[in-house]
Amino acid sequence: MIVGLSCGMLASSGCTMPWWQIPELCWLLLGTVLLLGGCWGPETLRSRVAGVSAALFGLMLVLALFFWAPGGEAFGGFYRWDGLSILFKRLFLFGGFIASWMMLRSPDGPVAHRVEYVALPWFAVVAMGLMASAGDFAVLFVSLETLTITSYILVSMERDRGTSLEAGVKYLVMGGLSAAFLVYGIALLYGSCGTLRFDEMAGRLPGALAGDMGPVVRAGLLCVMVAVGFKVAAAPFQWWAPDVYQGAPVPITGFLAVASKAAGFAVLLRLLWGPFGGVRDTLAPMVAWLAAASILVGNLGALSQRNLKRLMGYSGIGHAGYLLMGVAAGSAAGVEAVVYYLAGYAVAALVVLGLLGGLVDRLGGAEMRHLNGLAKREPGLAWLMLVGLASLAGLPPLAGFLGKWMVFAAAFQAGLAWLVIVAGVGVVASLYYYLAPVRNMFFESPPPDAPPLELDLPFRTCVSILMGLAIILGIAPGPFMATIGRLLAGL
Amino acid sequence: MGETFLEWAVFWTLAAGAVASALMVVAGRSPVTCALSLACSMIFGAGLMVQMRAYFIAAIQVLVYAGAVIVLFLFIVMLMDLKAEAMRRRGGVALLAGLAVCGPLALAGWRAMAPLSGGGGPPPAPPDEVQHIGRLLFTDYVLPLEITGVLLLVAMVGAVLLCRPGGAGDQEGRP
Amino acid sequence: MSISPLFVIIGAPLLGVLALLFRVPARLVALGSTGLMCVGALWAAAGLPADGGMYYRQGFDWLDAAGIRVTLGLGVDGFSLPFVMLTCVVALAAVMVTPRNMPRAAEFYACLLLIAAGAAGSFLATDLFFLYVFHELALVPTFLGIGIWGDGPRRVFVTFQTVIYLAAGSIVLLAGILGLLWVLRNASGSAMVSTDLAALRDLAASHAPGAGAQRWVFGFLLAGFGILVGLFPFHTWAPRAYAVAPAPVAMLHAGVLKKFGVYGLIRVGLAVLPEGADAWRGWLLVMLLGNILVIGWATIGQKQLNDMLGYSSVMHMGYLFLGVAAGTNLGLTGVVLLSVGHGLSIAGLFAVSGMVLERSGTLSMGQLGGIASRLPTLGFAFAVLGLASVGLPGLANFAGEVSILFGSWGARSHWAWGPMPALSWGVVAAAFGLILSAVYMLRATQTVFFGAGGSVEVEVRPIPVAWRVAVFLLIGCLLAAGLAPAGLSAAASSGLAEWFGGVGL
Repeated sequence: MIVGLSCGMLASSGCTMPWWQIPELCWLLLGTVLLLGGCWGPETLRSRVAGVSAALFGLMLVLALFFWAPGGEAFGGFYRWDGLSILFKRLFLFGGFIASWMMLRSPDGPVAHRVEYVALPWFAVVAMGLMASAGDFAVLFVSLETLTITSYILVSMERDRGTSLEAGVKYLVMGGLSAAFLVYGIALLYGSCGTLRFDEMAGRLPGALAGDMGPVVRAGLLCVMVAVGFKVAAAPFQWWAPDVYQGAPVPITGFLAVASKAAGFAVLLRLLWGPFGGVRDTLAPMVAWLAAASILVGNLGALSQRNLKRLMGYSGIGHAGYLLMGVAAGSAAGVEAVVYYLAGYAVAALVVLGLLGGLVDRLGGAEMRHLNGLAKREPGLAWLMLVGLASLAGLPPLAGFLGKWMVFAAAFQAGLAWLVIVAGVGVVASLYYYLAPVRNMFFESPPPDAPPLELDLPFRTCVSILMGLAIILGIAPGPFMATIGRLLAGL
Repeated sequence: MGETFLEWAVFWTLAAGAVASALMVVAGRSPVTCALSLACSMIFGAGLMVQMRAYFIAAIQVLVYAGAVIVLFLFIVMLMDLKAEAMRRRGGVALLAGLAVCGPLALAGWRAMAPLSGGGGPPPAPPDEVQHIGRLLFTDYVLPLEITGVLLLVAMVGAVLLCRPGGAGDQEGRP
Repeated sequence: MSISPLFVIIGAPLLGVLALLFRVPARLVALGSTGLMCVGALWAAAGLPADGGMYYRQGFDWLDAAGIRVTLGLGVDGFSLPFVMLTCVVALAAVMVTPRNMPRAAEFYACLLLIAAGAAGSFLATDLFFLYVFHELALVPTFLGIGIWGDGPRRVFVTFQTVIYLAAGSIVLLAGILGLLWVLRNASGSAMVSTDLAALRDLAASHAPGAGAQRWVFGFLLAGFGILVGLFPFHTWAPRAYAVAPAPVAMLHAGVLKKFGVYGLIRVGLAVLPEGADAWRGWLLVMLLGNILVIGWATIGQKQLNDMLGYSSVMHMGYLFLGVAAGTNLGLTGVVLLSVGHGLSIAGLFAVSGMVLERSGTLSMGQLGGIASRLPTLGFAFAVLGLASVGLPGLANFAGEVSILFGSWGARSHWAWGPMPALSWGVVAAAFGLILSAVYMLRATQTVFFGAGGSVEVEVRPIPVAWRVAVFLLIGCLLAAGLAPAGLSAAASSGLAEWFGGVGL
């Protein structure tokens, strides 16, 4: 444990960090301890395992926020400890923290107290952290697979519910296909460059692309990008997302929506500003088209949804599109915008999904009609939900608006004016479907026999803090952007 | 081409066998046929590895995949009730979707590889292939190796969790 | 940082919203906040020097991202001061005319205060980013205000239509703003471009973007602002929204928030992109004549009092755009005066129609009649406000309309037809439009208030004092601005002259 607590702190400078300092090791230990303790530990621990997990996530997040400094690598360059990975690891920890806080109170079926349910997010966070730090395609592939398998289990946890099992199977098929593309692409790239190391490949790829091996490199790049497209749920590789979001238990939906999407973007940025750095201009148009397709498919698909979780799935595709706009801009400003947008999206999506997770049992379901009259039953919660939805819709002064502003500005700067116009269509459409639940909450009357909605104080606190973050990020982004700029300075 | 007719014939036989049996996996109606075809495909693949003098990988492929995994599949398939699975149907949409994915992929692969067919023969195998791989795994590639350990742990947890009778009912005995 | 009146104007409603989160007497808090806004506006007006410059400036760097430096800046000049005062007065009146038995009062007042804060902030912002952001702040409260407290069978549909329309306008505007920044950065070649309005204007003056770029960007700005105001082909949301909205929301939106589009078009569009404005002048003329003639004609056919008011409000936007199209100092000064006059009068008219609805249960002009004999206050108020909106001399609208018509006569145009330039023909058509507006307004006054008794029973009981005070406050302001328009017009004229610095005048 002491090893764990010290992780990352000492690695403030220098080229190498000792292997025992990488934080994933500590998280892995904690996850294993939770797993074992939850199975065989004393009864006091077993009944409070979700609380312990949330507290530990919180502790790790505090350490990550205040003690980490970039610089260095481990395992001979296979593990990179730079600003990009630190920023994303913080996001992953944040997602894990909120998800396990939601599990404290998640009345989402009988799995709520399963120790695996609580411990597996730790393994997922370990895998995501390693993905964000990968310095080699072997590390990337293995950690991606670890994350995917963890996610299958989490999604299909409630296997006696049909939708959960269906979601798990769809996720499995998607994951298999995406892994096939990734391996095929990696093999082609290895064949043309003779290395799996990111730093070496960055030097050799432009030459290989221009030479005899050009078609091989192209096919390899295409396959890898398709695999990443699956991971971030970008159209046309998005079809799994709505089903998975709908089928998973709500805290897991939140975790996937936030942390897993962030992990996909960590990989995308890592690749485009690493091994593919020399050929980024070749890939940028492809990313731009993916962005446009995702924005349209996600936002237009969400228009007809009546289930809030499914709606979040479609809207998540749309948000992936906006994020890809920032990536397609290909500039430092674009990357900064992407990180900010991810943070803002995480906060707002967790407000909505968190409230839903807390209420879904008492409301009777996650359909829109179940929200009817929430503003009369619980005005405070309805207004919280409204703020979350407004931030997702991109209304000022919330984080969602500023994220869109920066992403659009970066795209404009890169000359992608047409993409901004496509995104405008998406934003207007998104306002319609984000306001649809508001209509149910504020304009309709509650059902006559509605039971009282009791939410305990810790839960309210959690969601209120998230809402506060959405507002603070929106009206005082200065310090946050300064941190992002500082950590991404060496990109 | 720097290779004999025999090599050429062996390669195309193995490759065609691998592709044909892979197609059988998808097209076969009985799960037993599918599993056996998968094993065949693996063995053909191992043959290709042998031709490239990657003897270790060939052996591993036969041992792990064709040997362990597929045999396990077969056991499970035979133990399970096959009726529901045997009646599965494939629509035209599924066929189209499969073609839509595989067609461009095959085309891309062919376009990518076509200019390279004049390349030299297979690379010489290192003299101490197994030791070489082992040393790499425990020196340079120790991090991926360790992550694979985590992956297996997670997979095991998941297998136990999802296969335990009584569904997701928890320790307190709730349904 | 010393306390400036601008902080009071923006801070009071926002603090009011915060206070409403707790169990406080909602009406008192809302009255106090809007009252403070008025005090702040008077304070700002009293201390504003007459030279037309931007005063009470306060600002600090807020964000540097994507090559854009955003400063949080506030300030007021002679051009924006009338809009700010209008906002404060109408906000106070809107709170006062809200019935005491309003259901879910705290939430309702919070919506009103947020709309007021958004409107005031957008007029006070000296930064393009915050000009936009403050206006967007009012979007959700408008949605809730119409959707929860609105009236009519198609309430939900109209609410969605309005908000989607407004959001579409905002997003077109956002594209225009980003395009403007991009074009200016390309033209000046600097890595970082500030969104401070004065800096943008100076940058555009020193490094004018090419004519093609100006035309594109101004097109986006015109469409964006135009949708928000209800410029002719983009107006369909407005009459329906005002017909459905509760009276206080309609007052704030039609009276104040809609003026943002015209204000922004002058402040940003004309000042920064004069060539782009030139290129679109002909189209603008066509569209604004659509407002005046087509919508004016449609107004005459309305059967419901609130529909009629909504259409008439859209129609009068045509006169504002006529001043914008002219682009002369006199015309733009007229725009400011008419904005104030129209804002005050339409707010008062919506207050009256809200009271009519409360007392008679219908707004159908065929069923109403002779209300003035039962409730003389309503009759008097509607007559005065209606005459003001038609342009009776002595009330603020007259001064504005006259300035616009004179300012547009003979103004620069691309083409001429017969003896006169295009804009002069526009003036002729607009003058004809005044007859249309007299027809529908006088007819409504006649049938609803002074004719024979209608078929529905009107509930006769004393009209609340707060309501009377609010409406007479609006009428008083109209009279004050109409009888002595010199103060307002001098401030607006000097403010505009200073802002344009001779460009485009």
